[in-house]
Amino acid sequence: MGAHVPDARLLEVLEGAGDGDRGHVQACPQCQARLVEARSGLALARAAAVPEPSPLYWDSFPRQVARRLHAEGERRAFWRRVSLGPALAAAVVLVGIVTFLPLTARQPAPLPERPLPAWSALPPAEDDPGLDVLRAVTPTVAEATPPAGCPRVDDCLVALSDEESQALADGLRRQLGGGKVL
Amino acid sequence: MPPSAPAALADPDDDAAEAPRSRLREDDRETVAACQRGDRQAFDRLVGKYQRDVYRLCYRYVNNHQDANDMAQEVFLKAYRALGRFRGDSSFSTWLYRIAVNTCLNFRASRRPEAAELPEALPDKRPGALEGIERDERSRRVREAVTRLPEKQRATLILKVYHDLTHEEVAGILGSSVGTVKANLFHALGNLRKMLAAEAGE
Repeated sequence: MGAHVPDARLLEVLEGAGDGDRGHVQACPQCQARLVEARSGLALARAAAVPEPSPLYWDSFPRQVARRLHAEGERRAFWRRVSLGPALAAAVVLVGIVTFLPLTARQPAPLPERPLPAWSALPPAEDDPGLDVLRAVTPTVAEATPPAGCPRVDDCLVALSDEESQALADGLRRQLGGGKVL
Repeated sequence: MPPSAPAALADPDDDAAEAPRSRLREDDRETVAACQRGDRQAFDRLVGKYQRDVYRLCYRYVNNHQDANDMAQEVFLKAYRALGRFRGDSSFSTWLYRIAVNTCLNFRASRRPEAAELPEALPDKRPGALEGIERDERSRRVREAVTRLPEKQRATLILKVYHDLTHEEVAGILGSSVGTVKANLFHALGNLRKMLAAEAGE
């Protein structure tokens, strides 16, 4: 006699198939005992029905499931609403950070303020009262003989310092002041 | 549900609702597609159609009505949440059974200390009542023995014997081969017989 029939094939014999193994099982007391035991277990299992709930239970079951689905849907909707505000605020903050952080990071530090030159405190050239003085003296000065070292009077005037310009203006104002408003 | 293989293991004494359902299960594709479009009534139809199968499967695992009810509802809630991902690679019923088995296994893994089961019915004084009580007691002992079987054997026995699924369907649900399903079922039947014989002092 060959090897015993494996469990899976013995089950096929139990199910009414497994014709190829039937002969062996009939002749082999051990395989036959295994088959009888499984058949007995099957008969026992079949005898154990599940207690049947009442028809009312089956009527109410879909409603219970629907209620739980509805409650779950409402719960999710609530949490979506609750979490929407903070999520939006967080998104705005995040966008702000992402947008402005690189700009401020790349902006060069402001340079230290340099002292302004004296002339920068003067009013605009057109409003400068000294301009009228210059206009008044220009014909006089132009006719004057340029001092040594100044080929032209204009060049000498430009080369004057603030104090020299002021002193020249005062001197001219004194000489020309008789009745002319400067 | 596809046609079943030889249904020799199906329970012949069950009522019509628990009789082989392979013939009764129609193609669920249209209903499932309607659910996926957001049709809640379509889902209610699926619940109505499979509630008995799912409840009984759960009952076989926990052996009491209250837990079976909770778990069966949980199975349908999970199915509803996951329905959008159902692609129809298997039948809807196979997919639903897979969810149910996983729910049952998770429940057993985290279950609280077992409460004493309430009697299923009040004592009946009518003639023949004694036989009924004995039958109920036998059923209870077998159901308890089934819950003590190793995990794979228990799942295989429940799906094959009580739900009349084919070996291929059981293999698909449990993620094992057909040969393994057959071997597990054979072991389960033998173990069940041994456990009950030991209890009876045979």
